[in-house]
Amino acid sequence: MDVPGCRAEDKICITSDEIFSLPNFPGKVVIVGGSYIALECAGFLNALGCNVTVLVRDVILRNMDTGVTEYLAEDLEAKGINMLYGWSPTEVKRIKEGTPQELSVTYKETKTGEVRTVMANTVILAIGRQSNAKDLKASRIGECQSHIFIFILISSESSTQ
Amino acid sequence: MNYFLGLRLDAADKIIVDKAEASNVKNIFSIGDCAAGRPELTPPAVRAGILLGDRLCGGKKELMDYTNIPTTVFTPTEYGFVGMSEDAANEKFGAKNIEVYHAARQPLEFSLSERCVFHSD
Repeated sequence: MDVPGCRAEDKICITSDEIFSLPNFPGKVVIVGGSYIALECAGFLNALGCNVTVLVRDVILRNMDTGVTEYLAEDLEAKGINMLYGWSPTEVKRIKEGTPQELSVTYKETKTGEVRTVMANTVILAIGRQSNAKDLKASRIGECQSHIFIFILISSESSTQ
Repeated sequence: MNYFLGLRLDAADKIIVDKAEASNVKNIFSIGDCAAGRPELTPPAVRAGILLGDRLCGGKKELMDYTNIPTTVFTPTEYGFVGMSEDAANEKFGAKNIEVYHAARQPLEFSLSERCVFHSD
């Protein structure tokens, strides 16, 4: 995600891949995205006792039944998850290293331009996967000389777009 | 020697494939998340791989059928679905041509522990 502190090289935010191997309790969590990964993480982290905020840029669970997804969102809110619609992160900064670390998360409401900053211990990006197929080069896979070469890539680059 | 493979990619850098999972390069096939227009789900990718292997090496002809793949969202209230969504059906057939039923039920095991999946409005 091309936002200061949200790029893969910043090594501040994590994805759903790293959530299961954290050195510490996730604590206060901000999740970016409205995907099923975002909502699943929100659900189980909340159940484990984390304080969870979900920043949804547009809609949750695109291409799924709106009637059901609205119900699921209400259910998540009733369980204490803070669902914020129309908000996107503008900057994530590491305030303090450590386990847990302290992060400052700034996000903006697209419509009104209102900006808020909150403290968090864990920021999870769940905004989808980015294919890295354009980086494929022949030298890396044996120059494709064999008659039948099956190239299989189940999961491409992680979700830090 | 860094040769680009010459694969045709879509706007999201996914590999464009035909219904037999073949890319534009004759000896490269692509299945799963990196194939354009395919669901980002593990079981269909596994199935597509098995069928592709059977076609390439096993003399079989069967193609992967990507219609009506069921999936689940593991939110606290779990949501599973298959086929066309209500929104897509409304768009295709018009809302007045569709009847929609909603039914809610508790998993039986929850009645023992008196857990509740449905919050009160």
